Amino acid sequence: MSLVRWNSGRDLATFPTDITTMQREINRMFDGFFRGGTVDDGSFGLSVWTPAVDVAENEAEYRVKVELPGVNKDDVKITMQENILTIRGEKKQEQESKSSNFHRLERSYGSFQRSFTLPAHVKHDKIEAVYNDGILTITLPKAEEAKPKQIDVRVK
Amino acid sequence: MTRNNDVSIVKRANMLPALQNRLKENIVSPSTDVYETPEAFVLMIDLPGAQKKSINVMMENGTLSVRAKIEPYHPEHASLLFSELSATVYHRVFNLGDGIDRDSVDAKYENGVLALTLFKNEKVRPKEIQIK
Repeated sequence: MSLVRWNSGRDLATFPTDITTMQREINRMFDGFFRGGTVDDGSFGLSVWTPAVDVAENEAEYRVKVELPGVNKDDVKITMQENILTIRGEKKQEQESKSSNFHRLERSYGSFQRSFTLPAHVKHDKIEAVYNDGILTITLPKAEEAKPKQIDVRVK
Repeated sequence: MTRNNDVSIVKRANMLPALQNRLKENIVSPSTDVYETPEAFVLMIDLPGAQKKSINVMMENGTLSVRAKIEPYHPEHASLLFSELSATVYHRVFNLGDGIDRDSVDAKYENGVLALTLFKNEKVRPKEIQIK
């Protein structure tokens, strides 16, 4: 079972506004295609920006990394419902830059939300999140029944 | 004939590690906001995942270069289920105009964002002229 991106704005698609977003969307479409997923994953979403995410797994835990540069950690909310992990929040523009004269605006601002269905159950009370150097790291230990077990099978 | 072929295969195999290393390095140009205040130009550069000590800011010959290497994100025995974080190195060069004072740059790093303040030369700053 693989992880599938959840998207709220499937029908209310907006076109990507800049070339970087466009390129990322095209890459994503190709990725989906070569992994055997659908080409239209509806990622031209409603949310203003989509932070990049990595999900890694080992025998004991899942580790989710979210790129959130310049986000105040109090503006991030992480929820776990059954085995759906949701990260939402808002990135605010720096106070001093609001009134100034801009030459270049490449960074993204506004609200974001991403959800992932984890392939196995996790210990809900043992989930930990750390925000450091613009990266949010969420560690989700696997529930006992989800850990691989070694069973000796005797051959007769 | 066969012998020749064998030699060429060995040569290629030796080149492989170097090639893999180069592929592993993924240089990304970081997203940057540039704005102007009466006294300075301010660059806000997104460097998520970079540690403060790994960031290198260089000013030379009218350019400002920013480079940061990122430590690997994941423990060795983990497998990736989903991967969008691609940068291993951030690198970007900015050209500076004449109006910038090369000797006074202010750098601050917080929450994965590098803020560089490049002060303007005295002569290009707006000056209020007193009417006699």
